[in-house]
Amino acid sequence: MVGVFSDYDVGTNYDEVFESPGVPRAHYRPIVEALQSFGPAELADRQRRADLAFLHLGITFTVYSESAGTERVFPFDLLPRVIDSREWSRIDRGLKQRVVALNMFLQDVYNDGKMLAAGLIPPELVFGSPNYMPCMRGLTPPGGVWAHVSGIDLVRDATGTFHVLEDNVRTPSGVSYVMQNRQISTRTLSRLVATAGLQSIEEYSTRLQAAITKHAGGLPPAILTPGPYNSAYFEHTFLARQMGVQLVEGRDLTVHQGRIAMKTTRGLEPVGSLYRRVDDEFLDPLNFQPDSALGVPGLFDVYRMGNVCLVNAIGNGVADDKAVYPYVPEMIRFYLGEEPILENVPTYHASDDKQREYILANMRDLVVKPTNESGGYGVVIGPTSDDRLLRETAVAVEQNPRNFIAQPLVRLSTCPTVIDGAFRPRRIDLRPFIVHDGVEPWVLPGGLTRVAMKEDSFIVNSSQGGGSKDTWVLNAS
Amino acid sequence: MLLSRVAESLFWLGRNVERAKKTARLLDVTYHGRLEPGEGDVYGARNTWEALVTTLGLNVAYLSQYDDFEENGVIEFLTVNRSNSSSIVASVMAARENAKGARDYLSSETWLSINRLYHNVSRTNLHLILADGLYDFCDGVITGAHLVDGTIASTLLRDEGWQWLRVGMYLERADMLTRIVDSKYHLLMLSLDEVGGPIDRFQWVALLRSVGGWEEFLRCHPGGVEPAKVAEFLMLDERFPRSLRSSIEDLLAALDEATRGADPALRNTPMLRVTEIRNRLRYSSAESILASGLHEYIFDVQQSLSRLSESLHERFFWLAPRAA
Repeated sequence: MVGVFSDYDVGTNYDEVFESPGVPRAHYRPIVEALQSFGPAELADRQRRADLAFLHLGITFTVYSESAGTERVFPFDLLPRVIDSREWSRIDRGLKQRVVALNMFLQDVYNDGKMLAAGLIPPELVFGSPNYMPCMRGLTPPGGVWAHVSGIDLVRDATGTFHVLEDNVRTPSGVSYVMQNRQISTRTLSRLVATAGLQSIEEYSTRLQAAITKHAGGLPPAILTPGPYNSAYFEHTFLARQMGVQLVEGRDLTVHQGRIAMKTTRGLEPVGSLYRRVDDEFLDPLNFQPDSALGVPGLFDVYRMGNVCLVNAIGNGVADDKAVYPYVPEMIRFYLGEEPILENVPTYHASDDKQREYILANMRDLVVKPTNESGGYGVVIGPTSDDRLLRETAVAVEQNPRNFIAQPLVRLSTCPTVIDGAFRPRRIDLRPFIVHDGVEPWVLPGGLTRVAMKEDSFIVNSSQGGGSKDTWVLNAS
Repeated sequence: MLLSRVAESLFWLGRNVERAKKTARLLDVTYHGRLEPGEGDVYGARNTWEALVTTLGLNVAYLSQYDDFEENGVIEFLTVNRSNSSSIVASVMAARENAKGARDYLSSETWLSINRLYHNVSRTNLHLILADGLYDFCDGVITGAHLVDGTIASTLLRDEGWQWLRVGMYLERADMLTRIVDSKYHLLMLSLDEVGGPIDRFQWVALLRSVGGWEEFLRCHPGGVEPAKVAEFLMLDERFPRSLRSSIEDLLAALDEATRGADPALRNTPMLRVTEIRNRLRYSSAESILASGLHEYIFDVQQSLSRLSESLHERFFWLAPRAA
């Protein structure tokens, strides 16, 4: 092997590109051949051009600092992550199956409680979840859809098998980076993109527009953002422009004649659906968090009457609670009568005495996670943590068992990533996005591949210094 | 369809940029005016700096922070003092916040020009301003603000939002002109016999310069300065883009466009207010204004403008009027 991959060390991990040192997997062969001919100087130059393109397009996320939010570029890596069509079609089916089951679970736990009655999930886990919203009891949201937009995080382990690491059915973000990454690789690797036969991702905005409009009762939809200081504000403006819908803040809305209306210079204009990027508890200061300035007083009352569609529904957090996660395979069997296509990662829950004992005894080999945090906050990786942190974590687990789960450390697959002008193995995960209009779920081909930019790091979250790669799903040949 | 919040952001963007520009111009003229000999007499007991702060209507705010009207204090107060909401830095910061709220509406060139102005203004302090000379600072603000105006004029989509931005800009321009003229009204009320000395001549020049109209005045009135002529030029001359008449004509046109098609119940009152001011200006002569009292005339116009701003906030922005 010559050129930019010559000293690439596959190690003992599953590498996405190389089966063994110097031997690329079949679906990566054209890319490896093309990049090999580049040489270090051209590689660095292409990476620099990609970085510049991001800066000029203003694709940034906000980092909070003292007086003003500063905007930082989300690191992008040149080499795409490629998934062949056979593997993808299995993932696609597995994700649809999972999203349908999660929707049925939400409808069930707020209404009939069949799965609870069958004794297949402990009631205290469901009703004890801080994200269970009692106000939703007995309610069926417009069209019966709870999770219109989901992001299901997948990881590939050392044997090459994909597992679901977590579900996100509240307000998953990152899809704007998927669209922008594709735009950048189309510029920097134009010939490869043109000849590789990629499944298109253009359909996303049309699908999302259709899903948020379908149950809007003939009225226009809008995107509800917390405002310019939110870290995902770029994505909110991006999606508003892509779909041609209004981007509104809570103060732009009011309740009028039993509906949600926008305050415009020509008067109040009703909206039928809100793709809201505001968390449940901030949506309505009258019904939820009283000091929230982000929401609309009385929004929940309009929702309860069925006069506005919320995307996603209120109360979804109970389905992506990490303590509920171990029961998703059971949901699939119970509601659909099918075997899960995508596996979970084995999970121990500290609220079970035996499992807690196991966690405390094996903490050095496990990853301990708080059940209700996201963005990688509060995760303790046993094998790389010092004794003090492990001791502190053990105390926290004993004090508050409901709040912790533990999983064996999944040795995430690696993918070559440009570091200082050469390719080095870096760990990656995948967040595919699923849009569900209540009739048929649709999966965006690919999704957001996140990269842990530091050597041997397992943390891919952008808030923790992670980067991303374009994700290519190949057409069936 | 335009969200009221976006319309209001654009309205205030127009006002704040115009205000920063005007404050810089006034400051520059005052600062360099005091270098001329024989300063002070025409203002009676008050000094130039006090007169400037009074013109801007900031006497109370100033005295709550400073003991007396001393030069460096006033300069600091009007340039870099962030707790003075009318200082240049506060106006520019407010303009940037307005632009942020309408970010997906503005062209990227416009955003860039506002951002650049903000970075230039926010990074300085009184010490640096005085070291470089106040002229450099004021010139930088005026040029930067013109650049914002330019990108707005040449890159923004000319739809309702653009019209609201212009409504804000012309309203601020008209308001500022009335303040400047009012602060010197005693000068304009002097009879011809009392004028003539070098000090008086200098005061005329300073007044016209503070609105950027000295050379323009001379082109229209090569005969020289004369109170009625100056009053006519500043208040009524349609050829001068910063005259009260021009600002109000522009304001009326922009408001007409911005509110076109709106429910008459919303549109009628603000349109009537501007039209009344416009008609008075159109059918007044300088002599009649001076005869009936310039100060009273200006006071009426200011009251109408402030009621106009209130009615816009109530009817189109869905908010209680904000302190100007």
